[in-house]
Amino acid sequence: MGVLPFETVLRIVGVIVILPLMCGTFFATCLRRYEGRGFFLNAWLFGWIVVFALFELICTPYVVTLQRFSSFCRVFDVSVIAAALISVAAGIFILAKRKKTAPDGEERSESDANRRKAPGNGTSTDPAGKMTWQVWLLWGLVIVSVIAQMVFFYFNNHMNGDDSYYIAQSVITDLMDTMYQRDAYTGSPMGLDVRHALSVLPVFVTWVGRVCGIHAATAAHAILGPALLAVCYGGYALLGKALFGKKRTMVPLFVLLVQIWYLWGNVSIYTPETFLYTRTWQGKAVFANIILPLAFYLLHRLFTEWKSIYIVLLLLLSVAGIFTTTASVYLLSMLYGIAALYCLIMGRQWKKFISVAVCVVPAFLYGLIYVWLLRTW
Amino acid sequence: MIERGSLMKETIGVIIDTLRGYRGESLYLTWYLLAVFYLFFAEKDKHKRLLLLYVPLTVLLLFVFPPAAHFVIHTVMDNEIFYRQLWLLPCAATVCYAVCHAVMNAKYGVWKVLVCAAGILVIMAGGSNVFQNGNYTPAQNPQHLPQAAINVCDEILNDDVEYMVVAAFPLSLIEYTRQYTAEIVSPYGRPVIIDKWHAHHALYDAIEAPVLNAEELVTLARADRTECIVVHSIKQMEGNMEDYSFYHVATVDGYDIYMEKWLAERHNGFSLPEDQETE
Repeated sequence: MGVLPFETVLRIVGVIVILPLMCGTFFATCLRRYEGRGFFLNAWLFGWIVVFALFELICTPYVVTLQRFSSFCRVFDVSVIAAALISVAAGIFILAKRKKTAPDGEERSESDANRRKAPGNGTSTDPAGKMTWQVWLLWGLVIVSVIAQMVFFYFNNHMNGDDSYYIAQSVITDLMDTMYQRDAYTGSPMGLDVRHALSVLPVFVTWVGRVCGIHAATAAHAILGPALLAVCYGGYALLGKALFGKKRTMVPLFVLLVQIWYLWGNVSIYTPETFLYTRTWQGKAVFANIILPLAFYLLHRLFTEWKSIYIVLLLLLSVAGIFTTTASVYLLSMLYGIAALYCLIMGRQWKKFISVAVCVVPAFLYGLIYVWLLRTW
Repeated sequence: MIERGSLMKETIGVIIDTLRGYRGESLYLTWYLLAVFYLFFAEKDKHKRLLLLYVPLTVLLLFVFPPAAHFVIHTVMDNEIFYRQLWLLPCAATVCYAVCHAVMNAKYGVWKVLVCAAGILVIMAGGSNVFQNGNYTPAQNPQHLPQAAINVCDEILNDDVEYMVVAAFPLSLIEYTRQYTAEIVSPYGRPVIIDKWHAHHALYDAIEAPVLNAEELVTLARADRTECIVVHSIKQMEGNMEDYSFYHVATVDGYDIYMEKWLAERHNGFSLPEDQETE
């Protein structure tokens, strides 16, 4: 397997590193108040969620109304660049505003207090939060292990039967300029493929391929596969940070254990662990290994401290869930619904109940669209 | 009443089968339930209990509760994807958090290391390593597709016509050719190789037969408007494809490519045997 041309590498870095980082800057800046350390991780992870959600919101109308992929691309290209720039500008504005009020303003003291309370911030007086060389060593192991797996994924392949639908659909989109209007297995024209039409990850694969100037199969197998593996473990790092609070020294051990669990989780073809390592680029794997851990993370943060930013992110996650798989309409609604009910049962926390319940709305709306499509086609 | 009873039995059967299929031959779900049991007594934080215990256990209860399962299987998702509800159990997070919790609770450094090592060993012993399943192979190209599939497709498209060729492939190529190019369409696809989908196709059966029959292949191909047939070159063939105006244009990576006369004539580097004789 040869090395990609330099220009292609630059484009790939732009799409999988810089674009998500820019799109997530606004949320990372907002989260900095409550989350403490980890600005770049937050920006990168939630940047992916922003890109997924934006793609879903813009692409679905084009798919449902049988429009061309190229016309969608024109609108999405402008939108995603605008979103990235606005996000960075808004982030800088917020940071500048905070600095302005920093010297002796009230806001500084409030934000500092919040940051000290933040889950990722152990203090030097707290022995459980003290960063020792062992902790740094564990973080080093985590990072090296993830990079090694990404490299392995780039140079090795795992054949998965479902690719003959998903990758073929991406290839059709690229060549025929249509979305979900041809039978992926045979290529014969058909009406709208309603079962998959709302989950547009294969179209995203095509978009990544076009922007990077590579084949859709390369975009999925060699580029998105390794990248999404890193996103998955990044999500678990956030979840660990939330679960361990001030005992942040436990986070690298947690992520390392999660990696071991995942590596030895190939117990059947159904587990999220198997999905992550055998079909990382497919929507189902993204849902089970990226969307769900982030949903658990955001729900935990919302339970611990009610902040509107978490509700916005849960809403975005709901849309991003549908981007990956239509089953998300049911699965995320179930998760949010049960979590919301517990907010009521445990202490009648109406504010939290309503916040979590509101996050089911996108899934509900997409569910309605799905039923309408089933009846129309 | 009897019907309701049999429905209940059927649903319970699906639940048990799904759980068995999900855990495989491993202790995956056992470790998860043990971790839940441990955290139930050890974890005091109500938010973590809510997230790691109450919400997932409710999901699990709904999964094994036959009326709820029956509703889900028959109205929301079918038997085949019912297992996805189990994804809502945060197994990785719960087990690993429980191990970390036990490590934190261990009093001395040595005990911490021992608990951690025991946790890792338990996870490894109860699971199955993904890299040992033998399915990973070094990628032959950036697309991560079998090189033979790419070479065969490139050969089929090596002509001077802008035309969507209808080509039939053997089992070993079916899943890959359309991942490489959408310019080649096919009379059948992956469904023919999935037994439970019952999508039989006569031309596929003829291509996969131990001994090929030229007349049968051409007749079935024409009935499906297929202009190109790809077969394993090591297979014996009864009869001659050229007698039925299907010409052998190339052999690529162990596959023979046959094309209808009009298409073969446009194929680069190919000339009809009768033209060769005239020359």
